[in-house]
Amino acid sequence: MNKSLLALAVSALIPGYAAAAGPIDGDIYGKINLSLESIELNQGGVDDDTNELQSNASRIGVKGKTEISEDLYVIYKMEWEVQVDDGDSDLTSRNRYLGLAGGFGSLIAGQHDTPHKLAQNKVDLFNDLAGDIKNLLDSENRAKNIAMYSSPSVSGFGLTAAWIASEEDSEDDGSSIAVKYDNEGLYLSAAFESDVEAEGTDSVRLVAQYNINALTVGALWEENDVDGLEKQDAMHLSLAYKIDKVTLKTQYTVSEIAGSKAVSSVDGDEATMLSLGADYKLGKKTKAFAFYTTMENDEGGSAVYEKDVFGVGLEHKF
Amino acid sequence: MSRIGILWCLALLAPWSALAADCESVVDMADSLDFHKMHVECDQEPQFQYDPSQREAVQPPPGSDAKPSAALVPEGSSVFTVEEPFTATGGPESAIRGLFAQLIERCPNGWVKHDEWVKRRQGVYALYYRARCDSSP
Repeated sequence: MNKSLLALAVSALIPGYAAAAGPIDGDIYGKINLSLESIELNQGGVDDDTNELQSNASRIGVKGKTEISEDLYVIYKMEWEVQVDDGDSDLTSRNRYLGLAGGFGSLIAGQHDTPHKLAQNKVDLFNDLAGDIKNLLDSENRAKNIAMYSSPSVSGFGLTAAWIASEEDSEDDGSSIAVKYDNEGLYLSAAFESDVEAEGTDSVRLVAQYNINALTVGALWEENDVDGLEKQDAMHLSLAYKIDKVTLKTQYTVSEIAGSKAVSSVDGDEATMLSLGADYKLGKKTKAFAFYTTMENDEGGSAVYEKDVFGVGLEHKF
Repeated sequence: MSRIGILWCLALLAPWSALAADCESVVDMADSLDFHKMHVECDQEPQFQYDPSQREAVQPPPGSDAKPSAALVPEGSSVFTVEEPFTATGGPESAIRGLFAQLIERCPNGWVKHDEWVKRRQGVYALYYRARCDSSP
């Protein structure tokens, strides 16, 4: 990585920034993901069909570390979302933190996806696209004012725990914790979150994913417990099969968790989402992709919601 | 110690070893909870002691076409790289002795090691040290 380029890039992102004394020990990284999509939406009986160019969570970030003593590092990261399609709401904040890392694990503070959210690992094969599970699941939180400890991995076992400051006297602070086992192609995780999505909301998440040669199978179950409402749950299954440079993938999600566009808070309201797609690896950091996603609710008291999306796109990581 | 005993020791150490890290692209690792893996285990960039008074030219990674950066270099000190070959069966001990011999000859007053890495070329491994002579009395 070119350190002079890093200094120039940081100066461009942060007006008035002056290079600090001492070595610059960081990297620039990111990815650009663009897709051209045909969207057919029926909401409440009203059709809304459009063709759109979407920037799917494209981002740029800087990260680095400085060694301050043997096996003790100061670490940092700052990420911004980049709207490559239209520049609207550009450079919105994503994960960012300052922390310490060493033999004890790592301790960070800032703004970050919670352990509960990241427990999903890679079971969402259409992450950041129209078929992202966040469309039907509610507790996908990037928390502000978070402090998080992540343990070392010992024989594949690891623990991450976070405290989220509400910064309000009348509100409880939030907490999020996840334990995982990740070894030899098997990933298992259990996560619990409280008072993060909202005051009085608890969420439990169980995740499993297994790689068997070219085949990857994944599953996620989540249950939300909101004060005053009956418990609501969601189930997600995913399947991927790799043939040389092509990865075929599909996933199915069914959810009664209120809070998404498709699922209301009416008891019994439920929505389903099915996605089919394929990735073609053009290079080590570049892929072309195509997908089809269909999402609908079952009219359990809420208005009709049906959405079909067909898209083709390109992603490059740097 | 028997070979089986050595293998058991290595297996116990494996979770803590940077060599066991499965390193993805930085943008993907940035979306995980394994901060140590992204920042330490999978980061091959030179490591610096935090000392604003010690600013040296940043050497490009091995195999890179980039030129060294134009950072200030304290008079009488510069970062350099030395290497010694070794084989998997023979182990790195001979390479470490060879590197220390080079460093003693080059920096008789001592040195500060900045980075260490291993590359494999044509079936033989090479151990690299990037270091700076210590000019302090």
